[in-house]
Amino acid sequence: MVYKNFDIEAVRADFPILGRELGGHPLTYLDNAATAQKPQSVIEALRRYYAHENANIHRGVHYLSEHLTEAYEETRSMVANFIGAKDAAEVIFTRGATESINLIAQGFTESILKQGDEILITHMEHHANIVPWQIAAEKSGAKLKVVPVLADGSLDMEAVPALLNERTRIFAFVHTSNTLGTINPAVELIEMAHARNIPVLLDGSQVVPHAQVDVSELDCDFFVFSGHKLFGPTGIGVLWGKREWLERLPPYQSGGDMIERVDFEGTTFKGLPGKFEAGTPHIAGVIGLGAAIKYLKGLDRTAALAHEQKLLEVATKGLLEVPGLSIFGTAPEKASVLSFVIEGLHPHDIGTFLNADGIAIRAGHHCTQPLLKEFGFAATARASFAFYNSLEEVERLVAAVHKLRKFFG
Amino acid sequence: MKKDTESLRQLYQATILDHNKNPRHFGVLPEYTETIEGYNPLCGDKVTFYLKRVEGKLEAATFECAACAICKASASMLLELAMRDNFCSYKELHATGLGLLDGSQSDAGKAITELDALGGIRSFPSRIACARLAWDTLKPD
Repeated sequence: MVYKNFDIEAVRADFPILGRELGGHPLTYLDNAATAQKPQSVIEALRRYYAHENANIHRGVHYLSEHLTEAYEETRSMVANFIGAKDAAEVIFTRGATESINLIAQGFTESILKQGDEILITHMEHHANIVPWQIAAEKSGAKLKVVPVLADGSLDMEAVPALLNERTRIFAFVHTSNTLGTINPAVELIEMAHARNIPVLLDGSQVVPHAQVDVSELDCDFFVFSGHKLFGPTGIGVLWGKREWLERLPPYQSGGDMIERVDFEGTTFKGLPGKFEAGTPHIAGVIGLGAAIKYLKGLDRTAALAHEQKLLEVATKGLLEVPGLSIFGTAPEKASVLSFVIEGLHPHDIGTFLNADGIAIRAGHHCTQPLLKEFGFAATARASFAFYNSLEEVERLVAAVHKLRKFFG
Repeated sequence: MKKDTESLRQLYQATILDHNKNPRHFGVLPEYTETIEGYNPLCGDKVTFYLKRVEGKLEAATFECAACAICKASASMLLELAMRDNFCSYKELHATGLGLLDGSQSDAGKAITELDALGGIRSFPSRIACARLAWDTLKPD
């Protein structure tokens, strides 16, 4: 299908890796929820940075440093604009969504959480939004509470009001599930929390690659995502938070670049965003992330999303025709993530078999062990689609799954 | 390396497919005296051995698992061979199994040719951990 303003062949040509072969087969990359591929413009931005622009930032008076500081801070504004944030100083660069969540959880442990308080998460969280809160609960004496998930993989909305109470200090949940594909009703959940004056941390790792997000409209208090899932480099991520909240939290790490004045008698810290960016940051990562966002701005994202939804629809229909196959996660609102199991066949064997045809999928627990355990799985196979995947690739996946079903009998 | 259907056949050769479909000594051993569990945190594969010891000496064992074909077949082959002589020469068998998986041994020798199927797994590095799980769990005394 051809969409206006969306030429799949032209888009694929922007991603050099998509042209490679694996063992005589064209690469069919369907592991985008794990990490996305990078367009040539990101690769080129990194090359140019190292070849022509490298210097340290925020501390030089020479041309390279001044120029790069400007580019670094421009990227911060670009990120703010990309997620609908009004104040660029509320954008903190981290190593990824995991570090962003750790920063918040650690800050809450030190400044906010007390014995008897509650932290609310959901049963479909990635380990990155479970473990930091478990540790926060252990250290502070708070309790970790969990919103259940229904059989189709959607959140049990009826259970939420009772779980948000006067002891709840934060509600941290995933916008789009990396395992189920479920898109949670974020606006409604945030309103419910705010009606009880509870701040919300939204894990946006799996939504930013698919849809345009506006944190001002969502009105969440914290929003986190990783650059590498957004077609940018690894090792760079974003924490956005409302100024009032970021100012309440203590520094996460300390050292150079986050201070105003250091004396052996005492040290004063910078304001936002510097307070949370100790040491030389991942400048190359920031430059690469900026290039990825620029790339996405040049794309008709509505058309790209429609294309992804078509891929999901065709893949779902095709895979359901495979005997013994069932899909895990059938919520009405889904991103292009497809987890499946085949009776009598372990996901690892599925993954190895598909790999022989050049098809890359994920097999395992997807860092959501509590979710899988709840549904009685140790692992699932997962195909996740990006806008650069084609219908031919979906057909290749479906044909290969039929073939492996026959192979294992 | 070309990973075509032929090398897949080599990985999932008849021995492994057979052990996967009809695992030997599978289930809970009624008279077990202890259990031992192996777990691969990377993929969630889990294997449980039910052991019967008499005066400290291992005499019988069964297993259960929630795991892939490679892991299950490897555990089944291990027990089939070990139970042939009630674990009397388990130390040697164990060394041979691991030797085949890490490549320090090229074949299993005449006595236990069934184990040669494990050698094929070496061309799939990401799957060696699957085959090793049972062997790493049930170590010789």
